[in-house]
Amino acid sequence: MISQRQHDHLLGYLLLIPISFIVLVFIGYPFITAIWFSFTKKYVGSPALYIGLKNYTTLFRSSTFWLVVRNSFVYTLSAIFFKMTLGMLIAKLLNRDFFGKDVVGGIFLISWVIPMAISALAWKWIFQDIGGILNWILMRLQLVKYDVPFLSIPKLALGIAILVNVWRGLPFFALSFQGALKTVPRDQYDAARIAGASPVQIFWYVELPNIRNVVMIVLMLTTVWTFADLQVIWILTRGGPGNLTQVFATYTYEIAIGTGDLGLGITVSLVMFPLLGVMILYLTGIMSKGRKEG
Amino acid sequence: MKVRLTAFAIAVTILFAGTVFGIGKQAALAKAQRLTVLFQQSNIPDDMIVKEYAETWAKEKGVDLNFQIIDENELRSKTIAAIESKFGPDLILFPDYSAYLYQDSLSPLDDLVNGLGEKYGGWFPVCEQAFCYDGHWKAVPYKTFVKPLVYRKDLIKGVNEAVPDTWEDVARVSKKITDKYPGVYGFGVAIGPRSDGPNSIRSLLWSYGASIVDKDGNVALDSKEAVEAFAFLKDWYSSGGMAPGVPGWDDSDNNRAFMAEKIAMTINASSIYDAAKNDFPDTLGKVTGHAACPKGPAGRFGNASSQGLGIPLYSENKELAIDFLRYMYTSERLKRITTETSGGATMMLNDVVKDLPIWDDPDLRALLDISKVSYLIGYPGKITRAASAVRSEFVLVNVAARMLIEDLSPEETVRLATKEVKEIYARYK
Amino acid sequence: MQLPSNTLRRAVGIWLPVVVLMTFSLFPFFWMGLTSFKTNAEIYNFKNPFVVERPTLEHYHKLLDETDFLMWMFNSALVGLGAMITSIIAGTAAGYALSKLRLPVASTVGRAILLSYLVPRSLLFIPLYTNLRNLGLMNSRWGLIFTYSSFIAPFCTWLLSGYFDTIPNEIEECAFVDGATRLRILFSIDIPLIRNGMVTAVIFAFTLSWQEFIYALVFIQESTKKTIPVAMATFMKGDVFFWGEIMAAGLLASVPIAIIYIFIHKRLVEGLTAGAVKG
Repeated sequence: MISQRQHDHLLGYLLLIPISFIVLVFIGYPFITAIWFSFTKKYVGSPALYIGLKNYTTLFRSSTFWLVVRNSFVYTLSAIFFKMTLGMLIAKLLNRDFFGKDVVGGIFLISWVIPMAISALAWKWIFQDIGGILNWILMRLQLVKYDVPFLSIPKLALGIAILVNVWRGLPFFALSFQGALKTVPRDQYDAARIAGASPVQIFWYVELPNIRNVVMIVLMLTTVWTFADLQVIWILTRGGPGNLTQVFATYTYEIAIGTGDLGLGITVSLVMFPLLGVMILYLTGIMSKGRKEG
Repeated sequence: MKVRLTAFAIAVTILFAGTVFGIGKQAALAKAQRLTVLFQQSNIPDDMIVKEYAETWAKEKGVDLNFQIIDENELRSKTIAAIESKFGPDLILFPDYSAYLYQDSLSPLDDLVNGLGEKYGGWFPVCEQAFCYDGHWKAVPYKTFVKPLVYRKDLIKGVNEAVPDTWEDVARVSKKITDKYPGVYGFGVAIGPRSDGPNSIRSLLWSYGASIVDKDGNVALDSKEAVEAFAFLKDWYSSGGMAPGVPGWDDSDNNRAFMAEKIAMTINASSIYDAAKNDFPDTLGKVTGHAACPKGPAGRFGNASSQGLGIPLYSENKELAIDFLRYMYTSERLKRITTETSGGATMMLNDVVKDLPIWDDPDLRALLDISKVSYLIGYPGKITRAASAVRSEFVLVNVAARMLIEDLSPEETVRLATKEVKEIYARYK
Repeated sequence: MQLPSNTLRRAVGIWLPVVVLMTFSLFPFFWMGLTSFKTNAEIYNFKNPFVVERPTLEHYHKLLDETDFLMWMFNSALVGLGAMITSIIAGTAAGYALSKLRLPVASTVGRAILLSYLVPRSLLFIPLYTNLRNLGLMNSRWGLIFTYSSFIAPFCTWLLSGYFDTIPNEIEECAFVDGATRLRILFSIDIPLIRNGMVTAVIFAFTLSWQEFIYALVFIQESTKKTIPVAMATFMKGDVFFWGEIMAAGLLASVPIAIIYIFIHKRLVEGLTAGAVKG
């Protein structure tokens, strides 16, 4: 006769089987294979030949690679910044009481629901120099005299990619923060107001400490998703012009699928992994540190 | 509790069973007489014609046919998946240099190809370069298509010019057109990481006497001729004759711009000409024409695109595939492809294409003429893995785009390009 | 004097931002819709792009009659449903185990699951090629269902374990005393209690699957098995984009989902409230 505790543990392990199976087979094993490939010369159709660190040194010596690193960080950090701040503001807006707020909230979700492939195409066309609606509007308003090639302007191309990413991701942030904000205890608000706190102080000292958990988790998720994002940039610019919007995911794709050099392509992605980890630790560290002060 | 656990176990078993069933089903299918073909989607009707041939052949032979027509990017992904996992279609279309990359995974087809060459007056010179390695043919050459200068006859007449022949002419005429016609740019072609750009850049470089490598395969981009070519491009862009957004254009943008009458000239395969003639026969169609790709100080050079049909080693239906190829590769059937695509899909057997009536139309004749002076990537050397990497990583167009938008000097541009090319060549030594 | 200034403050503080937000959020969607009703001639050439001079349904006809669009919608829905069910089963099981069963390995496993989340699909798709072939899952919607579960199930596990955490242990103790077994507690008591959280997990799971791109692009070899995002991105013949059809497809693929979302929006927020803070 086994004890309740042993029974629980047995049941627990059984219940963990499905997810363990899925994660081990479809993430763990391919991940190990990927690490192996990065130490080999592996072309499509050919057997893998061990070459040690050669793929890594090739990358570190390539100026395009460092451009990719820079772009990925700029893209991710900017997008996260906007999504966090605007997401919080929108969450507060949608939590206020006004007529039709549920409909507005629901409609706002649309940009998150539409398949990225389609909305990216729509955005691409909006910014097009010939036949793009933005240029048409600007010319009608007489703000510009000639077509502006938005997607060809150095800083602007990446900026547009960030814009599209933010546009698409905001609803997730707003939704998450909305729910979290609703759980802040009433009495803390009242106490703050009686003490004469300003809205900013209320946010900093009442709301933020209470929703810290949600913010951290959302932050972590979005860092992962954005840093590894392929679709937005692939569809808008394919990494151009001149590699100015090339990020890890698109570069991996270009090398692995375009050139057929799987070993090198995988190495690009693998290098991203520790950078991602560092970024997450740093960002969540900022949030924790705040908690100690708050 | 036992009941619940059993129910849970059953659910998991069902999931696994589904998988096993899937595997079993595939194994069963493999036993029937079946041919799976992977073909690239074309903006001209040749893909449908080949499909028709396949269906007719399959019906006569009683073969189960799975003929898939998919676009370029998908084709690349799927080919890689098939070759890597040694499972997939029996006959695959290999565009450009992909047959070279996967040559070790393809069946040699020497008898078939040499036999066809003997029968029909020989293959175009590019065929051997593209599909024959170490004396073995790894794919049957299918079609070649070139990118002529597509132009508006009326607008060129409107600025009192003849059809431009050299690059300088094109630049000069494009500037005149931009100046004279508001809302219209004289010229536009993508200079970015898509298909159109690399083609035009190579054509430009070669016609100035520059090239990425010399005939022995050593990097030779660092030359005075290359600087000249890039300087020309830069001046042209700053003169205003070119649409400003070209570094950000994709392959469909010059099509759209031309159809919207916003550009007067471009370099493109026959898709624009066909669309103009089919969709707007009375307006745009009447004034659209093809001319030879522009000439430079060193001559006229086009960048050829070629496609071949190959049979992977893993295929269990090789004989079946070859049988189909023999069926398709007859003079009448091939002639029909080239004729019905108005030369957009030129077959590469000399006797087959030499006297077709379509060549009487000068706009179509241009296509045949250009194919005679068109070369593959890696020219004047052979196709190599490094050359294909330079192409698939868009080194030249990226550096050209940077020159245009960051206002680099031509010398700096060539220096940067050479550096990157050398890095890639070092990778694949 | 009180009333007008209050209204003004509301107008500027609430309505102005709402209008700006709606415009920004919906503009591409609106643009898509407009384009899908224009003839090709008008798409290419316009005097005023906001005016549709000769509205047409030809793109919709072409889409529904000449392409596999309905098949693609079906595939996306099928895979979405399959991935969602698999992930919810795995996620509920794991979430409960980690939350309620006091396993000694709970925190390690939890962290491992979170870590697996860091491994991006743009890396995994390459080695997954060969793996899927060996498993017989290449070119199969089952393959998508399983590979999608690999990034949806961990997410569900995290979410649902957070919700399970909100159930006080006393409730379970009481049921025990009454002679119930663990599993019975799970099914009859706990799951109903976190109903809202389950709804949230289901919605997120389905949405994540609906939008997935790279696995679908790379693992599916037949047009009839494609999902919507891939079909859209590859909707072109060489260098001719069928803008009208693409935009029509965009509209058709988004509208039903959007309507559903408007209705469950309220539920979603409540669901996130319950579990998220504790997680």
